[in-house]
Amino acid sequence: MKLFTIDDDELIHKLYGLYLNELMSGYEMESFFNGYDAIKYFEDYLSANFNSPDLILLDINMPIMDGVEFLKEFEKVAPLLSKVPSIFIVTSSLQDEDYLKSLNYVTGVFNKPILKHTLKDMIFNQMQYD
Amino acid sequence: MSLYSIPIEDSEKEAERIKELDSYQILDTLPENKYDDITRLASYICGTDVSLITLLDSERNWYKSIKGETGLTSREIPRDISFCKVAIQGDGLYEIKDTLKEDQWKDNPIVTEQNVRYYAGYPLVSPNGFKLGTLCVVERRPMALNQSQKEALRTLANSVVSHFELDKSREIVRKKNKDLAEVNARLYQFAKMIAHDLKSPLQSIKSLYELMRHDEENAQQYKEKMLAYLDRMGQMIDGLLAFSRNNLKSLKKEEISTGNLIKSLMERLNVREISFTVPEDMPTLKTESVLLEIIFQNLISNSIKYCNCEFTTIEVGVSSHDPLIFFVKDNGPGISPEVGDRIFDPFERLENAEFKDGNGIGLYTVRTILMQRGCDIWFESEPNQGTTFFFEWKI
Repeated sequence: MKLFTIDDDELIHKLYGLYLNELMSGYEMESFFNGYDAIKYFEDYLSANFNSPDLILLDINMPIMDGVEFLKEFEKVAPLLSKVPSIFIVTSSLQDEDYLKSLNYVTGVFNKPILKHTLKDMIFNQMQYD
Repeated sequence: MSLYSIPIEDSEKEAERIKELDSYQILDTLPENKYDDITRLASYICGTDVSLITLLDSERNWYKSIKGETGLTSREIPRDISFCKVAIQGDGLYEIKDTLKEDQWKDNPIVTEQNVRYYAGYPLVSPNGFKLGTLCVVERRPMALNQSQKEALRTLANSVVSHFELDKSREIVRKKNKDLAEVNARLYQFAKMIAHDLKSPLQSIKSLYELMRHDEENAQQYKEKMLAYLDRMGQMIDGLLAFSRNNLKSLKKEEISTGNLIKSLMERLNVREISFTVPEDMPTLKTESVLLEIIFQNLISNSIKYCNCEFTTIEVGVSSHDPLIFFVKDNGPGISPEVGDRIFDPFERLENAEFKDGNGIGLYTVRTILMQRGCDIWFESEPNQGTTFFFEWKI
């Protein structure tokens, strides 16, 4: 299981790490502090034919490149990935939930912070899907 | 007697009269049926060919309604040659039974060129007692009105004023409705902004609580951060209350001396042992003093709060008159360049030491007020030398 967490709040990354430690052994997690860094990662590693993540936890309000902009950029790289990840938006943004759900590649929208069992469900569903 | 022997009005009173006339916003508007009905009625009743509703502007006699053939190509004549100019100086009917028999009028171009021989006009008196113009009847032969005709003309003159009044109130209501809609839209935006600003620290507190549950080793560290976020929320709510108290008052523009405003603000802040200077020649403005007060209060109290030096000096003044730019200068610790404009954000990283006792909603409120009127705010700062906040103010 490979996860990307994209959030400008360091505490959130830490929290995800703690949850994952309790939930499973042998996961891989990459943390990004804005959408741009994550997109850059995809672009840089595409040529290296790396393993794409299974799950992306995406914040909306971030500096440099926010979550919505990230999703737009992601549309360009997605067709080139070996496998399309499930993207969950995890945000305290007041943006319309229906709008966020309607965005391409978005599997679900959750309020920040998510609890451990929510992350567990996400991972469980993802594993079944695989 | 000639035309020029007409007494010159008290210029101050005349200026007030013109102001009253302008308040009706009727000059240069299009003809309207309700006024044309009145002039038509006036000419029927009085048996004249012509009837007019006239308004005396500073230079001209302008006609709101014209019934009959005046022989004029425009809807106005120069004020100085008008009968109405004289008519509005009296309280009752001004009647000229035969213009050719009166020295004052016989050489007047209206008489010599338009052949006007008869004039009768009632002043249009506003509820405040200003004579705005006349309802008059005009004829090209000498004549006289009987008592009933005179009374009818007076009644019609009063109903012209009633229509003016009604139109004016309607315009006021329309404008108030528009203002209300704007205020509502602003309140909605503001509520949204506040909801977001309160939700964000709440989310952080919840995250910290989760971290505490899953990482007991570092619980103490999370607790402290939590407390800091809670304090911050408290500060925000306090600032919000202060802001809404002021914001809900209708923001009237009033004539204020900014120097006095700042001095009384300092008295209310009740601070001692602070050297405070404000120059004597601070400008006097007609503006929303409440907003200026919130801005100065926030900037000055920030300076006081964060000056941890022994001897605090604060200087307020104007750095430019056009555009108008105020400044608030202190000798505090300064704002580090890394922080920059983030100082205006309502909630910033608590990890950053500079924000520990941050400016909360204060500076945020200040910037919101200024942004709403298209004004800028910025600062210059030297570490350990002090900070100067500048802001523009459009009246």
